Amino acid sequence: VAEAPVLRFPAFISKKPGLPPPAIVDSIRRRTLLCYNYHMLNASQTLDRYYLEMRGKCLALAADLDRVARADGGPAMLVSDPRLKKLNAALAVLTDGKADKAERVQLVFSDRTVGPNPPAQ
Amino acid sequence: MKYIDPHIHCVSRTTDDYRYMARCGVVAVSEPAFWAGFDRSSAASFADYFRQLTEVEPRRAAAYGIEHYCWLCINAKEAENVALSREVIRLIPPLLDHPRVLGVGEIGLNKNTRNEITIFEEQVDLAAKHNQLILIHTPHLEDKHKGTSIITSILKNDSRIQPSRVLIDHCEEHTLKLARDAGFWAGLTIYPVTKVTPQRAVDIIETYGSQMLCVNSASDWGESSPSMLTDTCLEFLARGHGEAEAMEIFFNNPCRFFGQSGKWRIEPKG
Repeated sequence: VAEAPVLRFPAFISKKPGLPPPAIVDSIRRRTLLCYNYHMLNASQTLDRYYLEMRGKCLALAADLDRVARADGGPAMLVSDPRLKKLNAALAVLTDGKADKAERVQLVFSDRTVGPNPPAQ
Repeated sequence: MKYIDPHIHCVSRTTDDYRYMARCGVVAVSEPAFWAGFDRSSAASFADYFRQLTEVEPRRAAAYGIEHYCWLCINAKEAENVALSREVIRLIPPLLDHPRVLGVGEIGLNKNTRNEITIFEEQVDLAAKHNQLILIHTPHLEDKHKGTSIITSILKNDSRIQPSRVLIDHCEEHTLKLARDAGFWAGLTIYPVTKVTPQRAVDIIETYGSQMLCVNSASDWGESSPSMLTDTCLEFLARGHGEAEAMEIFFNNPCRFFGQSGKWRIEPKG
């Protein structure tokens, strides 16, 4: 509680014109993120709020994979299709115990080549 | 709570959507020029489209008490046709003084091809020569990160472009920093399927802050909805954030960015 004024600082200054540029404000804010949300839902409350939705999304993906597997040619596709390989790589990000999962999953699904692409056919 | 939807394609929406927005407290919108779902056959089609954006939609919106502004350009997808694009670009300068035109947009890339890059650079040049604000379309899905990198590089290498007069739209978790760290405004586009959800949008706001950030619904001819804007605000408030901070994001920030045009008539509140 004693630290609250300091921890609210990034949110407070972000509204003032002419103060540090957003990159600096964001840098401060990210460093204090856990505390910035001190007045917000804690982890347990956050999980309570979103758990059923998370569970539902997990089941939906499981059912999607079952549907592909049941279809003609499904088992072979599950191990060979590049889209499903990317999906598996993304799923590995979810369980690797590291932070910034959404950003890293985005990069799994991103074209990382350099230079212009050929026109679409 | 009053809202501004800073990126919505009203030409694709019904009067029911205008009524819904008015009921929710949306008082103003800005509509970029974009792809109509099919490639148009001539520059004349664009001349009519620009008349729809500058004359028809402002009247339709006004019937629901909503201020309507727009942006003009050749969109990134049809920019693959360089000859047509150059014909369309020639239509734009006489319209830039129109009181409802905020700038050049949404220009950008779609599949990151050489032709798209050529036309993007020509439209950046158009905006620079006429001292216009720029609204940027970034590609979707697997092309987004690479496209956003190319776009920000081109803009940063043009000394005439002030980053604070450019909004990079359709940012996501992996591209927001590319825009914001270079001093550009960033936009989050919220969709019911396939792209950023209201929950992820609020996660991004909590992680990166709300400064120089706008949230929009896009609401185009695909599966989309004006309710994505208000749903995102509800998610923001439901997590315990205050209405004053919500107003910064959903009302004041668009006013600040658009206010640089000299045509936007709504002042930030509070």
